[in-house]
Amino acid sequence: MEPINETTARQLLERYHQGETSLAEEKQLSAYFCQALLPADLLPYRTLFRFFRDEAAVTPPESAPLPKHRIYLRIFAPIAAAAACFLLFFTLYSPAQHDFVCYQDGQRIQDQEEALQLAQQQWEQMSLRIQKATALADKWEQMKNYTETINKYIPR
Amino acid sequence: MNNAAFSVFITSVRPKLYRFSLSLLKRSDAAEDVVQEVGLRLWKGVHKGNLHPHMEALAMCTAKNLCIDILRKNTKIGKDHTEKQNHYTDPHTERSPQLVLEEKEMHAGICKLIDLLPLQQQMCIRLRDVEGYELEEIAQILECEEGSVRTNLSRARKKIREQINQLWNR
Repeated sequence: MEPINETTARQLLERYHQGETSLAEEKQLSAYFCQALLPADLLPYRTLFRFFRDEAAVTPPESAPLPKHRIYLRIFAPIAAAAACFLLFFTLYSPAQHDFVCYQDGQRIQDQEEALQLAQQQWEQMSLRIQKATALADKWEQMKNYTETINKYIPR
Repeated sequence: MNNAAFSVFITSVRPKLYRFSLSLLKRSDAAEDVVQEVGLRLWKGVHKGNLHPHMEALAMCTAKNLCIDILRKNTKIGKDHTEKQNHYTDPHTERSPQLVLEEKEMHAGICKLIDLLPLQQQMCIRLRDVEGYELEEIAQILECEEGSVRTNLSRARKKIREQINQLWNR
């Protein structure tokens, strides 16, 4: 790349602002403006071309290797999360909990209709027993009153 | 393209992708994410057999689209110029501290001037003057006509010329 003089630099600069310079010409301009001695009116362009040069020198940071515990975390964290979700799902929405189960005299009954019939029968039997018990209690109360009355008027 | 060729390609294009993304996003972590995402997308494309004739232009175009998506999603990003400006280092250590400080201020000023340009002009000037792409390649990256690139580049350079002269004479 040939160095250029001030006159050429000014001509190229004009073309540069029109967007008509080639990449090679722009490199020549950059080299000219990054030199130490420049006319006063061209000094701002030194800053501009140095800015472009410095920007082009920026490199991405090297990707640092992950620490071991973070590698383990990366591997096992998704597995642990999946296992936790699986357990939670089967605890809350286990199909076994939705099956109807009842016990009659130690026998397991899973049919809902059969269980309902049995419950109705049991309820009816219990109602009858309660009625009988109430009637007996009434009779017992009457007998008690009767005994007290006899004891009152016919002392022993 | 086999694994080794892809690895060589992505290693060569990575600095350009990073610089371009950093210039738009102003955050190194976001720029690195974009570079990684571009690599992943290209890798998937290559595995499916989608071989683009201009892989580098495709990579830069993908980075541009990702950056624009991020900028649209998060308008707050891009306000932080400080991190990016720290990349500036003065290679001429023999100069006076005052001159170095002035140049640093000018450097930051130019960065702000470019950031104030419309996005298309910003991208044109960075792709041409920083990355050194031909106009045809820039047109492919920005998905527009070559004439449009030339116009945007010229407008951007003229605006910077006006602003930089004002900044210098202040």
